[in-house]
Amino acid sequence: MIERAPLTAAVAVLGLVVGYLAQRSRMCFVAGFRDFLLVRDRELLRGFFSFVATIWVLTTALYSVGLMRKGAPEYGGIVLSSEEGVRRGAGGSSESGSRGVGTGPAANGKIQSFFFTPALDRFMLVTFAGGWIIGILSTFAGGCVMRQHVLAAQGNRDSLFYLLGFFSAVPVFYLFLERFFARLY
Amino acid sequence: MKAYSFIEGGRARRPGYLKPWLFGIAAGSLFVGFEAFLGFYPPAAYAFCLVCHTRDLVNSVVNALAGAAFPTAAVAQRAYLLTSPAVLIGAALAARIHGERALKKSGRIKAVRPPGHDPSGAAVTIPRSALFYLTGFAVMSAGIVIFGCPTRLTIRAAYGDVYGIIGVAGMFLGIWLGTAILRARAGSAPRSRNSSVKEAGR
Repeated sequence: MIERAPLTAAVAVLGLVVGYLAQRSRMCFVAGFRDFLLVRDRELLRGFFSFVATIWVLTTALYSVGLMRKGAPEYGGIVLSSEEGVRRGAGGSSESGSRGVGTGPAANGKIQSFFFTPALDRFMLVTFAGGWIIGILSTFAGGCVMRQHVLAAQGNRDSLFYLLGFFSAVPVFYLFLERFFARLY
Repeated sequence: MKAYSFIEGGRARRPGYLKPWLFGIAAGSLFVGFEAFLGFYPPAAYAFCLVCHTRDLVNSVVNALAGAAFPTAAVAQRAYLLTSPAVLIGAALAARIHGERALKKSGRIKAVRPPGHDPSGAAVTIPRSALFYLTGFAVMSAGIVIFGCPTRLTIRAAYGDVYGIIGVAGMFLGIWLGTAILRARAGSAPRSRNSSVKEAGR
């Protein structure tokens, strides 16, 4: 408990700052493109692209000076089998979940070649489909997940129900739905 | 005040308005710095994700309380990922400080009438909160499967992760289709049905 405190506090402070800034700027990662399509408003889309550009420039710079590890975020490669490292059990037993969603496509510890193995192809399709579902549902709900948090904090009852569904989905997913989705990996 | 014109002004024309492109720079720097200087990995590109962090938080709590063995990311062994409650509190603080807290009640929306439905009959209505509940549920489920909320998909894409780029492409396609449907409904629906479209907008 105690040893988790510093990083927990850092995460909480980051969340507070981002929540504050998001409320002030009305930033939404879905509404940028939506507004552009609907009314040709580029304000939020600029936010999206400045976000992408900032991260791209900073990661490239920090990689080159050795402050970040290269090639880290991919899913399914050798890096990932140890990296995404979703582990079962609160005690940190290093039994890397060989079954189950949240473990990454190659989490069974096998070393796979990175590109275009069948599992990776499937995960590309899954990612595309998942992104599609999130995009269309977020458009109907009126904002991305972060925007729904901000709206709920401002007193929007609908967004509050959105968040209720959001939180309650986690245990339901791992109790009942995981076995269906685990085949996708 | 001219020096701060980029914070004021803008579409909202309210004091303290932060332009979204500045949010992009600030948040992007924070997320990258968080990982690079605080060692917040593995997994990478994990500084901010409302889906994954919420999953880790809920699973950590359930694991601790009920002795379950739900999966969490590696970094969640070193911290409780309070991102979601923290964002709520931060946004509530900002709204309170700037007087933008406004309770907005939920309502009911008219269901789509089937073709041939008698227009003079009573319209079928659904509570909008139930639709939002289901939407949140579905977004979380899809997010757990693909490891990310829209924010983290964007972060991953900006990191150069091929899956992140594919996910963002899928998301944009979904948004494109969603706006097409919204526009079609707004164009063809009778006036009484427009409210749901308008309110979905923002």
